[in-house]
Amino acid sequence: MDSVLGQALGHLRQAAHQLLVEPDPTGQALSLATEILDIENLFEELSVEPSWVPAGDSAADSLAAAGQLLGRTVEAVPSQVWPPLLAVLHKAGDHGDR
Amino acid sequence: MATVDALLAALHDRTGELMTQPTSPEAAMLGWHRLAQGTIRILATIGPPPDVMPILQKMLRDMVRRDAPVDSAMTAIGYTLGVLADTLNSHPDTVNHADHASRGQLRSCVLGALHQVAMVTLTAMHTDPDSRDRRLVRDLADATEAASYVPWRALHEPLGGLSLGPFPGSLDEAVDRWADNATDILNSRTRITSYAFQRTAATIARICHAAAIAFADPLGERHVDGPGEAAMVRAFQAWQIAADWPPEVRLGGRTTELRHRSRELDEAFAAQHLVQAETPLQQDAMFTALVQAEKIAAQHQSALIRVVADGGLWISVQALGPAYQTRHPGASRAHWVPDPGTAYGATLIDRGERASRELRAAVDHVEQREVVTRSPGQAHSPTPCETVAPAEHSLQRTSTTVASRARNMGR
Repeated sequence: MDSVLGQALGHLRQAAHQLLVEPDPTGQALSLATEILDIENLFEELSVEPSWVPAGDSAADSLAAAGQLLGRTVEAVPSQVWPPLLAVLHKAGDHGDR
Repeated sequence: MATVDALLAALHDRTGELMTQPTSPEAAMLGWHRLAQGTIRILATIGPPPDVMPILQKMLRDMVRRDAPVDSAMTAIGYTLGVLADTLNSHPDTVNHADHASRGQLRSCVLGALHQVAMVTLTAMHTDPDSRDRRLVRDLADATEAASYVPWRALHEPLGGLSLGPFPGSLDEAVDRWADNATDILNSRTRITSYAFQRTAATIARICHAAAIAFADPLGERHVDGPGEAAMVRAFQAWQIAADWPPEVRLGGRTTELRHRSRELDEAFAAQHLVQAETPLQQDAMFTALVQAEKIAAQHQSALIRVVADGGLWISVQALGPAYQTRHPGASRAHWVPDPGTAYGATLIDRGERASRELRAAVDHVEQREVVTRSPGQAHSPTPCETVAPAEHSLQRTSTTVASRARNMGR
């Protein structure tokens, strides 16, 4: 189970990385990336060790991959992770295929 | 909170506002009690002129207290004088040791404003020239007339920069709390994490982004021109890059409180829409945030250099590739190992150095502009002094940027 959480964390790390390297005239990518960093921090507090996973085609894809993994193991996901995760998934969807 | 300089500027502005408004004879005497009270407290701190104090005390004693409407310029002047008095009284040593010229300038600013208010009252009460209250105001106008000829200008430091300290819930307070915690974490060899590095850099980037928008406002006292705005955009971009750590690099650990402090700061930025009308104060608050960010940037950089030098970074074995695994057959692809000498550390340090340079340049732009717009001897003006060229690298506004009241502080 830990490896699933670790992989999800790996996808979140890729998503933050992808957002931070893109041109960001509005500051929205930075804002979304900081929310993802905060979720990563939540996982690390729970002693989840990240797995290194390949990057998705976009930050939205990486986020979606993390969401799918966590969605398959709902019972193993700490409850405090869900609200911020759903928020970033929603925002990533709103801002197109980042 | 606003500085003494910002409060004097507000006093100047509100007095100007009062002079342009029609005042009825009935309304002219409202609010004088509060004005006299605040002024007495200020003058008691900086040394009262002997002829003014007795008049003010007589006003307090003899006039019936009748407050002006809450939203009137007269009430705003009274409150401004009250906050100014609180601010000066909270720094008795600095005020006592301030140079004679600064104290004299401060006294003239306050008495000059009082003279203008008295003249408004006298003009409005021309139909009742012999009333006791009007005679008191006339005496005050006479005693303060000389001060009204002293040109209005900002005070020298440290008097002009005094303030009451962070306003609860303000951007100042959020910045202070964030900076305190970031300092704590960045200076700890045991509690530093990759999250701390990334989140701190991201927050600095956010401050730069918000500052670029705030300082571009031509109505603000600290408005910067196109090159200044471009410098802040470059600092924002450089810190965003510094916040990016490759996913194959990490430095584990727990940094809960920094997450809370960073979120608080994000929320303070998001509250900007509540105080958009206070542009000059917002620019002061943003300047304070920028200066704090510059301090944190220096600590971020030295912490990063220390961690890399100590071999503290962890690298994903999978990302190190098959060559590493061939040389280290026991290393599992799923594991993380201490940095075996990759270029990641040097890259992160380079990014941090560049970002720090860009931030220093951005802060220098704001400071230079402050010198230009508030040089000694120049009358204070809330409006920009120069024509502003559009910024080449201007940012698009978003709904979540900066907020709040001002507190000035030196670097």
